[in-house]
Amino acid sequence: MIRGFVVFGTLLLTTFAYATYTGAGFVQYEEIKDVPKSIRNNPGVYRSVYSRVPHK
Amino acid sequence: MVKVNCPSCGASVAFQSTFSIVAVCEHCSSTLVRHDINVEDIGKMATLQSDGSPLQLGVGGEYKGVSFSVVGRIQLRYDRGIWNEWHLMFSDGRSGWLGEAGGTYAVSFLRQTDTPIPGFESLKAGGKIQLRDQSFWVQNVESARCIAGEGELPFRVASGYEAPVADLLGDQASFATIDYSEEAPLVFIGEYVEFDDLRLSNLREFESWSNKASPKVRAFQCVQCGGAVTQRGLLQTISVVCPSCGTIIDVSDDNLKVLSTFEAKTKVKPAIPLGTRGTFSEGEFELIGFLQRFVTVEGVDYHWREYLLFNPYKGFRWLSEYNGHWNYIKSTLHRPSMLGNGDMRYKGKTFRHFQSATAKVDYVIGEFYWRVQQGEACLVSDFIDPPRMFSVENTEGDISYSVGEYMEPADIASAFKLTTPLPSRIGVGGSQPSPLEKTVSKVGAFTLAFLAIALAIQLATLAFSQNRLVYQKELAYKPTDAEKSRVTEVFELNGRTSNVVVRTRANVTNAWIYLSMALINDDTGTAYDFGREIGYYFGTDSDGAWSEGSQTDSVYLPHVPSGHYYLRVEPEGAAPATYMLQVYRDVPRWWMFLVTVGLIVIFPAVVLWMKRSFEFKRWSESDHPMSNLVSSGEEDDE
Repeated sequence: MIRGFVVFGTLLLTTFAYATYTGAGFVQYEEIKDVPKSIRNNPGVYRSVYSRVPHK
Repeated sequence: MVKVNCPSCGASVAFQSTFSIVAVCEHCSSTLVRHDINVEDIGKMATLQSDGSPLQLGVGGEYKGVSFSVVGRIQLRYDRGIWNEWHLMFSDGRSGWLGEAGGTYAVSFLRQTDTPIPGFESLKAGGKIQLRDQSFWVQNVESARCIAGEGELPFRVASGYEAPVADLLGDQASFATIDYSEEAPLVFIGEYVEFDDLRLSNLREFESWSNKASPKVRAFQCVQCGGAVTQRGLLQTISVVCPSCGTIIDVSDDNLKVLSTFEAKTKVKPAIPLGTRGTFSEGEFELIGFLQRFVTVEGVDYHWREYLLFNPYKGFRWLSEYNGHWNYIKSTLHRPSMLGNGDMRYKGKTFRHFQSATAKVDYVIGEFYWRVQQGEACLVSDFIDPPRMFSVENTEGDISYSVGEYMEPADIASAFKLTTPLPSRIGVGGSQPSPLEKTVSKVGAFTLAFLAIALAIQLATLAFSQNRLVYQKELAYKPTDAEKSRVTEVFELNGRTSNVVVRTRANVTNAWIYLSMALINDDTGTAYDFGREIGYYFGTDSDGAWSEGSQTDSVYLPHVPSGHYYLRVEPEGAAPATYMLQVYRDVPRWWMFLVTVGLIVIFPAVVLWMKRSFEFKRWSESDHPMSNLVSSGEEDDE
């Protein structure tokens, strides 16, 4: 029982330290690779994943 | 040492101690009184009664670092059997006494006291007496009778003289005896000692105990039914129960007087047969007696069984069994301190009151060191500090203390090499140690360590995070704009891969704005695409003023590598609005720390709940049952 707790605690703290160090979080976002450079000159060419999310 | 010749038989008689004025000739039993230059023969000393004592004249020992030798003895009979006072000659010239009865030993010295001594008739068990600035409590009051003496003694003794005595217990193991046989009571003060601590040598040998010979028994016929009766206690027991007819016989009486006869509705079979020897940490003991006692609580009888163990040198021990839970019990003469809340302290440990009840004997077989009787009752109070249990037994004129330690049934079976199974355990025993006791302390230690590490990580994060505003810009939105999308200037995110916080403030009132945003790495072309809605509404209704939503929003983007970035924003909304974008880099957060702490404490919480559940079961058998599993409990006293 103690060994299990020690293993659990060690893994948990390791995860916590890693997550804290790398700024982990649960925010939903999409990572899209190789978007065109032309966006800066013509922002309208980019179609956001979230632009079609229904809202009020 | 002074040697004289016995006036009666001419044998040489030695006076080893300068305190000795009487010596009994070991050849002819003449009692010789020493005067200045000669000795006077005052008659024959009566014969000592065989008593199974392991001591004898010539025994050597040590008390508080000073060696002594046993040079004389007075043998007395009191209500519960035979009691010996051994006269000690110490190597530093002192004279003292070693009281010995039933495996109990006390060293004492004659003391002068200016304190008035209360009269013998006024003494009651439990009463307090002050002697030489020490407090003592009366343990028992007896009228003993001298049987005989031997060896050297510091005063004249004669067979048959009455010795009204009171035994007193002080703090710790301190002990005193007041001997009222003289006109001015004699006060002896000392302490109870353990047999092993005296480092005795030249002890008497008992045939069946000094080697591995079979147990030696004394056999005789029951004076009532003629059945075979055995006595295993080497004359240290005084009542034996006939296994055939239940007659209790006083074996200290030459005529085997019948004390009483008990009638049991049903015979109780001991789980361990009488005559079996078992090996414990203190040595080997033989099971010589068995009795069943009970208490009645709210009309229900609760029975438990007690097994009397015997060793001629160590005296008596007990094993008690209730619902399959066993305790190894030893009498103690260390007087406990009662605490105001009903608990007590013994040898620096607090024992909590568990139960008090009047216990009665309802079944006996074997032999005992007192005159046992069916229906014999005493007030028993148990206090616990698992695995130990302290018991106080109070009968009229006598208070006795014992301390027991919980034993696993497997250890009992192993000690006696039993092949038959012992009674199964039911519930939790009063002194049963919690199997989680060590686990709880270890889990507690690890929990504290884990929490400290988690806090250290969090503090380090707070101390070393950038938590820096990297970029901010205010933008405007009009629904009528042909191109609503905007991009910001390029800004730099440096340092390790970490989070980015985009904070937005929009001046929306009773309106909303939806921002489709992308944090785009200008170097690699990787976009982090996300959407946020800001809405703020307010007004009044029949319940008064109300508001909903907020004009601000924050979003944490995790794992963003360093590089050059810009934001692309595509707003959507029914009304025009301006909005401020702020980008922060490497912002410490608390939720991960709080989640970690929560996960860490789940495990000890479960362990504590299991321990609590165990204690709930334990105390359900006591006078102080817990009211429930959650509250601090034990407050449910009536």
